[in-house]
Amino acid sequence: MVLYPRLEGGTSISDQTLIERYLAGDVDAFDQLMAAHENRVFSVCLRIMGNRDAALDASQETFITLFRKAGQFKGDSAFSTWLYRVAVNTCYDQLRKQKRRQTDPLPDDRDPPDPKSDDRLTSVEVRSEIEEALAALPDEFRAAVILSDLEALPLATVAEALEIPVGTVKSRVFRGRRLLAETLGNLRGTSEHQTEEP
Amino acid sequence: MTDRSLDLELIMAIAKGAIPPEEAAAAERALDEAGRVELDLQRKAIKALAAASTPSLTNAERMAMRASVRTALNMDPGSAETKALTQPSPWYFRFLPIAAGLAIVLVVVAVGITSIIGGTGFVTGAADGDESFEEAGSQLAENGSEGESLSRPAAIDDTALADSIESEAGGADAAAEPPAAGAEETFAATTEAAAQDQAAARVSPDLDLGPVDSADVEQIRAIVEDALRDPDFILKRDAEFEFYAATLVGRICSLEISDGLDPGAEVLLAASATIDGQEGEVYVVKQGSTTTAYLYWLEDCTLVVELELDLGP
Repeated sequence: MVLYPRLEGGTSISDQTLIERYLAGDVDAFDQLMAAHENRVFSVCLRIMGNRDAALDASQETFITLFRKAGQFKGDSAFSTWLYRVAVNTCYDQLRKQKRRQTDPLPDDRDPPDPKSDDRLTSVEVRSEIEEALAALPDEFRAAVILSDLEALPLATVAEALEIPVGTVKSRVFRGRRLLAETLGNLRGTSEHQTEEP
Repeated sequence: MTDRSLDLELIMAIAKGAIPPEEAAAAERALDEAGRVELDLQRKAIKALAAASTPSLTNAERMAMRASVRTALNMDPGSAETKALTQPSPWYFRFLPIAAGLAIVLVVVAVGITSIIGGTGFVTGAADGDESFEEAGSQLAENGSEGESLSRPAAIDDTALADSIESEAGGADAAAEPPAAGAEETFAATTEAAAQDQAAARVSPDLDLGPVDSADVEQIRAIVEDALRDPDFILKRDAEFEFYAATLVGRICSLEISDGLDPGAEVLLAASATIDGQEGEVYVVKQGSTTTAYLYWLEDCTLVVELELDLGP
């Protein structure tokens, strides 16, 4: 029997090291980077895109971009921050493409949109109320809420990933949560709180 | 009410439970009605988000995505070309195919003008243009086009020339497409198709991947258990296992196992495994007279155990 030693600590090799190895032509490093981050990227993309097929496309595109531009990663920020930035930007790009193809008017940011009017919600997939409410948020609010509240990233990291000031992140998270709660209320057929959007 | 009239940070901190309870209670009491409404909405949203399930890839999706990314990056598992793939091409490389296309158009226009002005016949003009056609062809070939021949038609007339112009213009368009390695365009191929392509590229079509039912799971489990001397080792047949495009799809580490298998090798078993709570995958492969079990950690497809099995007659 041949026993192969496991990586110390399971994932002790840093992302930076793996990228260096990948750039040096180590295909195993590619696999390890994919294995370490693919679920996280998919999770973010699914929540931003709102449907599984689009999320798979966006995740795939994220990794393609990531590996093509791996040489540009200097390690100034955490690899995961860079990863989130590429993923969110990729999703934004794909959402813009989707919207260009749509003839329906965009949801109004000032009121919680009617989820039934959003094409992304006409998917045959059965989705939970929270997923529907997330999908109904304006894209910028949704990304901020996802990274802050679902990925549990610090606001400073969210700001770096979204390339916006921390104050803007706070505002988007705050307003995103408010819209989310209101949409959830609408989805449940109740209107417990009617607050005027500033 | 506007966001500016509210203390966003305070409300967010209370809602998140980021400040001590006593301090939070005091701050909450100090909020006006609008502030309390906002706090309530924030709390409801946070509670709902906390209850949201975490989505994850299925094994098949994971496999297909990895294969697609590999394909898009033109990663040949047998070689290490990734460094070259990540190096940007010189800027002028992007314009070479366009320049070649323009050269073709110019040559064709020149040939046409020559034939009209010369009047004595197309043959002369075409003969003059022959060298230019060859030059353009050489340029295209140098630029890495797909090698479409630009040789002059044997019997040429105006109609043939017009057809030729259209045909070569189409070729130039194709040549103007950036090479895959340098392309920044969205990779739009479906993941399944890409997975199939990737599988075809990695696995010999002669590889015999069955029959899986010939393996005695209990016997293998006993042997592996004994070898590992680990009572927590669990091995079970994976019902989701399926064959697809001459490789094992639905298993995460199947690309690892399919590397290096000889034609005629049989994958007797693909199974899930758990050791000390860590998920793994076991593949039992028969190559010639040797049967070997391979155990991979699911997390990163690291090969942990390679065990030669004596399954008896």
